[in-house]
Parts: sequence; structure tokens; C-alpha cells
Amino acid sequence: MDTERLKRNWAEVAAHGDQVPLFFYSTLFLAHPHLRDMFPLGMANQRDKLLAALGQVVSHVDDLDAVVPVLQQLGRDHRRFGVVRDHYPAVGQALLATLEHFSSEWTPELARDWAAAYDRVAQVMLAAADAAGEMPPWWHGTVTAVDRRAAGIAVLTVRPHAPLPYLPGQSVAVEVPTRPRLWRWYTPATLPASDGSFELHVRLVPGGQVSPALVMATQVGDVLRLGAPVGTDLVLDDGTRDLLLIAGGTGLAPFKAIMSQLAHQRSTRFAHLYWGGRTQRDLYDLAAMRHLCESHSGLRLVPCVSDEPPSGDVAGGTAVDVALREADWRDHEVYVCGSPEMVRATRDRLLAAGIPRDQVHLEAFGNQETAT
Amino acid sequence: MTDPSVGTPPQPTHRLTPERVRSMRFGRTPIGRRGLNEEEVAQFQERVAAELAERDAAEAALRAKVEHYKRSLIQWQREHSNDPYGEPATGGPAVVQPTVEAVNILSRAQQEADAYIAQTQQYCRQLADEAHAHAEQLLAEARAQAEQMLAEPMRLAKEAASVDVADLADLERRLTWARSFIASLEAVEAQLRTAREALAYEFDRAARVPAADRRAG
Ligand SMILES: Cc1cc2nc3c(=O)[nH]c(=O)nc-3n(C[C@H](O)[C@H](O)[C@H](O)COP(=O)(O)OP(=O)(O)OC[C@H]3O[C@@H](n4cnc5c(N)ncnc54)[C@H](O)[C@@H]3O)c2cc1C
Ligand code: HEM
Repeated sequence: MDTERLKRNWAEVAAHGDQVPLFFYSTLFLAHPHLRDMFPLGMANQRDKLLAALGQVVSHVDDLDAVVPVLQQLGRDHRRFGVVRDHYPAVGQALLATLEHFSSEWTPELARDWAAAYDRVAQVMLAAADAAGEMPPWWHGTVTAVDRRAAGIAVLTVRPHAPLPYLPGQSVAVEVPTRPRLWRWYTPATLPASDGSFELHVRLVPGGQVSPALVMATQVGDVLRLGAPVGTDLVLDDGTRDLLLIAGGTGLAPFKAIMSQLAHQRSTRFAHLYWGGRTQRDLYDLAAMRHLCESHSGLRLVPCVSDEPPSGDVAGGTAVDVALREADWRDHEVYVCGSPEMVRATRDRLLAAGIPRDQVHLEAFGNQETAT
Repeated sequence: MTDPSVGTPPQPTHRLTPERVRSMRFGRTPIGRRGLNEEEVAQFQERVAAELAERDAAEAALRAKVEHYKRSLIQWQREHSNDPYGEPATGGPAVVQPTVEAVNILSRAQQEADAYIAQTQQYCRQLADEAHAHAEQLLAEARAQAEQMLAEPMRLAKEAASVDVADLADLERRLTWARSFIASLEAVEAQLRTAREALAYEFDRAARVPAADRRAG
């Protein structure tokens, strides 16, 4: 396989931008119309993802080991989309037709190398999908409670129809019945109850495709589809360092689950949670969090508001401001979760305060990242 | 925006229609003397209704277009392929390669659909932003009103207090005056006492002297 030639060819093709995935999907759907139904109506997002994934694979084509974990996760995720082994050749053919269309020079050797590269990627994805065979490709979950709180946030209680084993800090992909084939990540905010149910905290992103439907229209009895739990960034290590947790808005969700776990295990690791919002209205789960922190002596909550004066036990400033003002955290394991902007700004402040990079764990609630 | 599956009519029960927006009535706050500005609310309702109508129209157009493309696609597929619609393809070499022309037509259709979706999302975001701004404004007004209502009894309290203060000052003044009066009375009393004592001494002397004078005189 001439990997340099593949990379050069990819650079030439990718220079055509959005035209490439457009051509790819149209070719795929014309040759195999029944595959169209597996994809959402709007394809703008999906186009970016495919190009990005292909680009990542191609740039590592001579060292696929580096992307194997990503490909394995992708392969497992594709079970949720209803993708099976038989679908792979169709995608491979459409890919080759697309590459041929945009290449100034297309040779049988180039076609053969591309086919071999695609096959290797497909094998890794398929092997991972097969290995996950015992887990269902997705779960159904009934919404058993909908609690709409201030500031466009809903706390949903979801009961999976079969056990869904997740670790505190992991997220699951969710599909709403009124938004078929649009999957978004949400983070269980509790330990599973005795019937397996858990809380999801969903913030309405204005103009978003899924979160407004979840927050405004979800009703008790609705059945959601849930993907396999993923993510390792916020899952607690088994170290002994005390914990600094910094959350913005619904970024509280993973930490509520983690703190419930610490309380449940009567852990000796101390956890300080700095939970920030613009105003007190944004601190939608204050009563439950206070209750949780009273249940175990190793938990401490500092609510923070940035756009209102402090009052009572609610401190003034962003969560990271308040935390850095109060103490030196260099001997703590630090976890951060919230919007992409909040996570970026918080990380910069933490590193500037001298906290070692490998003690800082981040998860941004953007829609670009997959939860791997 | 409701149901992306092509051709499904919207669910009327869940949808916010222009009519429902127009006919919506808001309750008044029980505490406020100055409630919502009804004209502003009506104007805002009208704008939301208009934008909803526009959104519905855009959606209907989108649905019709996609339906049309879908039918054309099925037609094309029937004419050009012996792979019956709906049955899984094995991806073998028997698959017909679509022409570049057909691919481009479908690509354009997809792009149009994407543009409609993006536009609808943009509408929603704008609506949400405006509603949010409006809500903030109402909140600010309500806060100002509440502050004013709080300020009123506070003013009265201060007024009541200021009456007391005046009384107090007056009392103080009278007290001071009374004190100085008493003090002057005491001074006069002291002078009187001295004078009386002096007088008594003089009388005493006078009472004794005549005898001596008489003796001497
Ligand atoms: C690992 C992971 C876990 C997550 N857990 C949660 C959770 O527990 N609770 C929760 O509420 N959300 C969570 N999210 C975010 C969630 O998955 C969606 O991205 C979010 O709900 C928006 O989806 P949407 O379809 O409404 O918006 P989209 O239609 O996907 O996006 C609309 C627009 O909003 C922007 N946007 C997307 N997300 C945000 C955001 N968070 N803030 C500001 N702008 C945004 C997009 O860039 C886009 O321009 C998580 C995300 C990840 C990656
Ligand atoms: C080498 C092979 C493949 C690669 C690299 C690949 C890559 C990707 C990526 C990166 C995503 C986005 C994942 C996410 O949103 O979390 C995705 C989604 C998807 N893929 Fe694939 N894929 C491959 C094969 C296939 C095949 C064979 C099918 C079957 C038709 C398929 C169908 C889908 C579907 C239905 C989605 C979800 C669409 C959406 O959520 O918008 N993929 N793929």
C-alpha cells in the first residue's frame, strides 16, 4: 500500500469541501435507497462528521493503531444506528466512486489501495461491534417523571426497560421519538435506583434540534431510545487524592452522580463541588444538592453566581473564581464539566494557577465531540 | 421542525399555532398596581403569531418539496434498478452505479432541505432570543415595581420617624430650656439664699448692736 499516494489523493479530494460528502451520500442513497431511512432528514451535521472521520483515518493510514480506540467506539456506536455487516460494502463502493469523481488521476492501483484501507477500517469497526454483541444495540427507556425547572431546564427521570450498566460520569446517547435519528449525549445524574431508573438534566439550547423537544415537549410515558454508556474522562480514577469538582449549569449532572457514589461508598476522599450559574435561578437543583451534601461528611457544596450579588451561602463570581479565591488546589484531582466556553475558560484559569495538566479532567457539553 | 419523517402532518395538539398565541390571555399579578403593558403584550403576541405563521409556511413548503423529491427518487429507482425498494442490498457488484447527473440532482435536493432546516432553526433561535429579552424586560419592570412598592412604606416609615425626630428635637429644646430655667432658678435661689443669709446676719448684728450702742450712747 502506497500510503503517501493515498494521503496526496485525499488532500486533492478533500479540497472540494462540502461537495465531497454531498456526492458521497447522494451516490450511496441512489444506489441503495433503503439506506436513506437510517439517516436524519437534515444531513448538514453528518456531512462534517464523515469528512472529519475519513480525514482522521487517512492521516493515520500508515499507523492505524493510533486511531483504533476511536474506530472501536465508532463501530460500537454504529450498532445504535442499526448498521450491520452487510451495509459496509455499499458504503465502501460509494466512497470509491466519490474519490474517483474528485480525483484528477484515478488508477487501478489507487483504487486497490483505497479499498484495502477502507477494508481495514471496516474490520476494526465490525470487530468492536461484534465484541459488544451481548449488550443490546440500544435500550428503550420510559420517562417516569418530568420536572421543568427555572431557566429552561428539565429534570427527567428515565426507567430503562432492561438494565443499563453505566458508571457515574458516563453519558448515554438519547433519541427522542419526535426527532428520529437525531442522537444527542446526556449524562445520568444519579446512581441507578432500585428499578434501574436515573435522572437526566437537560438544558434547552435555543434553536437546537433536540434539547427544546426534550425540555418542552417530553411527557410522562414517552419512550426514549438510549445508546450504550460511553466516556472515561469524568469517571473517577481509583487514586486517593481529594477532589475539586467545577460545574456550570447542567454540567452538574455527572458530579451529582459521582458525589452520590462517594456518599454511597462512604468514601474517605473529600469532594468540593463549586457549582456556578449566572443567577440563582440557574442553580436548578440546589435543594437536592444540599440534601446530598448533608448525607455524607466528605461532600461540600459551594453554589456560585456570576451576575448577581452573593447572598447567604451563595458565593459571588464564576465557579472557578470562587474556588481559586478560597484555596490552593494543587494537590487535588480536578474535574470540570459545562458548556464548551465554560470548560475552556476554567481550564485556562486552573493551569494558570499551577494545577498540573494531568490532574485536570474535562468534559464539554458541545455537540461536536462524541463522548469518547 | 416537528417531525422530520417526510410527509407526516404536524401534530395539531402539541403545536403552538398563530391562533393560540393570539388568543392567549395573561393573568395579572395580584400585588402590582402597575401590571403588564397590555398593548406591548398584544404587539408581542402579534409578532410571535406572525413569525409562527411564517415558520409553518416554510415548513409546509419544505415538506412538499421533500415529498416531491422522494417520489422522483422512487420513480428513478424503479426505472434504473432491479433492486426493489426497501429490501436490504448485499452490496455485490450487481448494483447500478448512478450517473453523475442523478447524483447532482439529489445533492441539490439535500442542500435545499438542509437550507430550509437551517432557516427554520434560525427563526426559532431568533424567536427564543426575543422572547428571552422580553421576559428579562418584564422581570426588570416587575423588579422595579416591587422596589417601588417596597419604597412606599419605607418612605412612610421614614416620614413617621421624622415626625418623632422633630418631636424629639422639640422636646430636647424644651428640656434644655427647662434645664436652663431650673439652673437659673437654682442660681436665683442660691443668690436669694446668700442674700437672705446676709440679711439675717445684718438683722442679727442690728439686733445686738443697739444694746451696745445704747449702752455706749
Ligand atoms: C459527553 C456529553 C454529555 C452531555 N451531557 C449533557 C447533559 O447532561 N445535559 C445537557 O443539557 N446537555 C448535555 N450535552 C449536550 C447535548 O448533547 C446537546 O449537544 C445539546 O442538548 C444541544 O442539542 P440540540 O440538538 O438541542 O442542539 P443542536 O441542534 O445540536 O445545536 C444547535 C446550536 O446550538 C449550539 N450548541 C449545542 N450545544 C450547546 C450547548 N450546550 N451550549 C450552547 N450552545 C450549544 C450548536 O453549536 C449549534 O449551533 C452533552 C454533550 C456531550 C458531548
Ligand atoms: C469505515 C466506515 C465508516 C466510518 C468511518 C463511519 C463514520 C461515521 C461517523 C464519524 C459518524 C458520526 C458518529 C456520531 O455522530 O457519533 C457516523 C454516523 C453514522 N453512520 Fe457511519 N461510518 C462508517 C460506516 C457506516 C456504514 C457502513 C453505515 C451504514 C449505512 C453507516 C451509517 C451511519 C449512520 C446511520 C450514522 C448516524 C447519522 C447521524 O447520526 O447523523 N456508517 N459514521
